[in-house]
Amino acid sequence: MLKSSWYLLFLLIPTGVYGQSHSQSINIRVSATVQETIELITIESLDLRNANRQESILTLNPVQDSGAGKMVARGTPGSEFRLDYLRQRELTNTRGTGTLLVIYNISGNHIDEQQTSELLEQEVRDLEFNDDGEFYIWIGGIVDLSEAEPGSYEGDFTIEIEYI
Amino acid sequence: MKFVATISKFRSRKYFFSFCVYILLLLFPLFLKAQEVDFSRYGTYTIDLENISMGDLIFDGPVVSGGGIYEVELIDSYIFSIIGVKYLDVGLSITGDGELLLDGNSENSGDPQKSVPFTLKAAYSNRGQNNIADAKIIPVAGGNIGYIRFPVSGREQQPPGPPPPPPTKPFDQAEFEETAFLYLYGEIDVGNVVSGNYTGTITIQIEYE
Repeated sequence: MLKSSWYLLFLLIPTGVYGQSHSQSINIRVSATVQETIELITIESLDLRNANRQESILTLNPVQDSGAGKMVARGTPGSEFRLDYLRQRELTNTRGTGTLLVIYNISGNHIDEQQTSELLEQEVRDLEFNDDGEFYIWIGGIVDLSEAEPGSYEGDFTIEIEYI
Repeated sequence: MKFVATISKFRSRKYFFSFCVYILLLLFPLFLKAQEVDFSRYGTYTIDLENISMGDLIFDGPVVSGGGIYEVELIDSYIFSIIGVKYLDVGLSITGDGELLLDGNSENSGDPQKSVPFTLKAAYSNRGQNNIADAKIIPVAGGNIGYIRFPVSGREQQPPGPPPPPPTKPFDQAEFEETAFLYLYGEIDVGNVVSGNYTGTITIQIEYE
């Protein structure tokens, strides 16, 4: 009788002292959407030789004129991007002195069709790549030749595209 | 003397030997943790770990292939609340995947074009406010494994006080609860990878200690 009482006592000790304490476990997901690097490819340079001339002002319409420059931007299909460009730029005379100021204007389209492209004002910047990840851009401009020295002029067009 | 007398009541060596082994087995855990009284093991306490942030820990904004390091900073971190008994310590374990995989597909693990290295960072605040200014860094090792033990309510460098007096009414944990906060953030290093959705997992486990 004594023997069984001892065992009973010790069996009760471990179960009586320890209560339940709770723990919790949670999983969360980490995610990132990686987009393709944006490429800008120049297809045709802007050519002012065939621009419309009214007195000393040369005008090249990016929607209608064949001398407009052409670029294609390539990125992640369907993703939105922001487009910005330097509207004014100086062209330098490669054979002499003097500069020309060109005021650029551009148009863009989801398809490779200049005539249906839309003029892109600087306020209209949020655009979208098409299903093939492409967006077409045409570049025109206005140049005032009234104070220009004879010569050949060259310059850059600066455009910046980034995902939104 | 009384103990000796008790022993003498065992009529055979066999019973005495069994008795000694049983006593040693009972005392064995006490030998291992002789300097610590684990109050949390003597009651039924619950602990709640709840998302304050919604959805995933997202590396937001345009993440571009080949773009290098992108960071979710502490100020933009993913936040959990930890609601528990304020005078108890909790042990917090964090395990994160070492890389985010294209479409979460484990077959892409280790593929430099379909995986993005992920570095997990974490911090906690136990001063009762969801305030990153109070956040203390949780050490996270290279394998994105972190562990820290801290009181649910910070003791501000004071030694822990005595346990509360035994309640004279049924124990109501809500009267002794406090909220601590867990912040998860980190960075990814985006190489020249295939575009798409990259995902990984972080597991958080918390328990009283």
